[in-house]
Amino acid sequence: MFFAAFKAFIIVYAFGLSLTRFLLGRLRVGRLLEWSLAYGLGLGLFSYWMFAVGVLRIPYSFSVLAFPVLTLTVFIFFFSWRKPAGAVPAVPPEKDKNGCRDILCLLGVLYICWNLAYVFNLALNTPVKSWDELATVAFKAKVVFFDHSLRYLKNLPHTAYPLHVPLSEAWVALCAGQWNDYVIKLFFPLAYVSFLGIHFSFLKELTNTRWAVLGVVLLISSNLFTLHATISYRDFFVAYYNCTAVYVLLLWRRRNDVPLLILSSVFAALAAWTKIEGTIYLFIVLFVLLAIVAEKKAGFRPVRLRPLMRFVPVPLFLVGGHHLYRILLAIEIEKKSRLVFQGPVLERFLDFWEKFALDIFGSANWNIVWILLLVSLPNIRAWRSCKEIRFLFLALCLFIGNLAFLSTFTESYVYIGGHQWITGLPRLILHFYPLAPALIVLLNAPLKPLASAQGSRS
Amino acid sequence: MPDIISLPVYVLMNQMQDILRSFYHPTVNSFFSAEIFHININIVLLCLFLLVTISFYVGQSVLSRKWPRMFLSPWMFKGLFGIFILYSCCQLPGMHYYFKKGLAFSEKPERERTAALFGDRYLFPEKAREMLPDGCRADLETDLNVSADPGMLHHRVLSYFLYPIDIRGVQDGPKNCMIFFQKEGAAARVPEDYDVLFMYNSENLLAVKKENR
Repeated sequence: MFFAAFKAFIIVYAFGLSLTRFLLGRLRVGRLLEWSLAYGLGLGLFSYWMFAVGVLRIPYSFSVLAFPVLTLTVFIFFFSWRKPAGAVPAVPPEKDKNGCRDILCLLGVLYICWNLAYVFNLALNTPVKSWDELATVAFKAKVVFFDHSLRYLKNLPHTAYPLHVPLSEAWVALCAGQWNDYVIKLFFPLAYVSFLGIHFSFLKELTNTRWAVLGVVLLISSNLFTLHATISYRDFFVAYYNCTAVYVLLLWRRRNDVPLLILSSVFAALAAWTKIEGTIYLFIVLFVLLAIVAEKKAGFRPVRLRPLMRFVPVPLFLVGGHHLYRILLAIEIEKKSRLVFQGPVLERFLDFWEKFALDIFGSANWNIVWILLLVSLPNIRAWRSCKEIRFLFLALCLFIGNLAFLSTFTESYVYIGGHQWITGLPRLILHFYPLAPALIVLLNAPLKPLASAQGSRS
Repeated sequence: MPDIISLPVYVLMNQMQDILRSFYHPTVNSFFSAEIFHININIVLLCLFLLVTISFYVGQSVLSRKWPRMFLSPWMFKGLFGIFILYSCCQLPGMHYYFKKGLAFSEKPERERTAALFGDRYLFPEKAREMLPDGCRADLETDLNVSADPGMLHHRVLSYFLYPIDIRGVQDGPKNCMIFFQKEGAAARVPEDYDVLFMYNSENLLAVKKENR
């Protein structure tokens, strides 16, 4: 059955690869980054396609879902390969002096391999068994799979939640031809591999191989991050899309290539398509974009807001589409997300910081990554030499600030700073955690000059 | 004589193993930190780190007769990175334990694995699904308190494994069967217009409306 389910991955991946190739064209971003981005892009857009088919009340079947996508994939592949080559000068990749040969790097690669084996073993050998999997995520997927539609969406638990993960699981089951509590988790370890590729490529673009490997080691040393790649929760995918959006946005800042900006907007939208919190993260990424625009060119003229115009349409379509459907079905967002400006605001605010400190410094969730970050922050020389650090730090501060806001002014306080913080806060920190190891690396590593970035399309 | 030596070594090794395994104890929401003598290991490691760093820093300053900026001192990051490696190595035995558990688990058929995890909450729904057609909408009768854990979790597990037999009111339409789960004297409580279709044990059974049979 695994092989039958594997075609779910092949179709999604081919779709993503064709789109990535089409968007990036002849842009030299590196194969690893292209292949890694393709997975998240393909899976996210495919699940949205399933949503669209469901909204149109067309019953789900393999052929209904797969054939239009496959046709589009073939068409895009054909179209993107026929593009004339050579417009962008091909610059041979720089030789890395450290390379993969030094012992530290090799140990890092071994640790990564061990971690990958661990994730695949745990993800594919254990069934869905945790609370949210059984109660909501996999349950929704099972309902969609057996009913071949979104007919009962309104009767399902947490109706307002976006459907990326449940629909992805339903898709695997559709390809496998039956419901299987093990096989439906296939997409999680693969997303783990894909994200490691993105994280590595981003750091490699700015530093060298040794530090990029170290960045991946720092990332996967977090217990919670690794564990969430083995269970059917939505938080891992939010972290995936959210942090990828930030990374790609920073790559756009460095290279000034429009396709990267559009890709960033798609990934930010897909974070919102995975979990409600993703909609807030989308605005945070938008804010970082505004900061980049403001930094790039002082003052405001309409032409300088062009990146903003390029960023907004995709999220508006994807996120707006889902929220519009929700509103049309009169599905309200849950009470815990509503704003509350009454009560002991200061107490809630202070409670949040206490719990936040307790979690990042006192739990076993993040290894000692946050402490490493704290120690690395005073490295003023790095701040001066690499502007990406500023924007990465800005994004991190905004994500943490958002948590402080939610804890202080919404009823989510109970799960963030209140007595049930242990069930909510660590998973919310997971959504932006990968930015911390990336920042540590950038603050300590020798940074590459901008000259290695190639031909731009702005 | 060898026993006098080997016993404390054995005890010490066991203690070490327990401490190391406590570095990695997976739960979905949060990993609790390991403890040594009831003190959070993170605090122990940080104190150790600060002690070593400050010693080196003072030593270096005294030897070079100047006070370099502490935070930019290479000792700071390198020392902490050493602790990071130590910490990661300490996690490995715990991870290895779960890795081996996963591998051992994979040798069994899937049904046995799921049954080992969930017991009756999986086996009873499995049998019920065999007996009833898809799309049955059932009423659940249970002695469990399904509005609070652990009863709530049992209810969700049951509803997940029962589906497409619906006990959560997902599908529209009238209820046409009853599921008794962990209900004392279940057989005696079956309403008159229902027939017992399958009895798993005295507390778990399946009944369908007479007109549906």
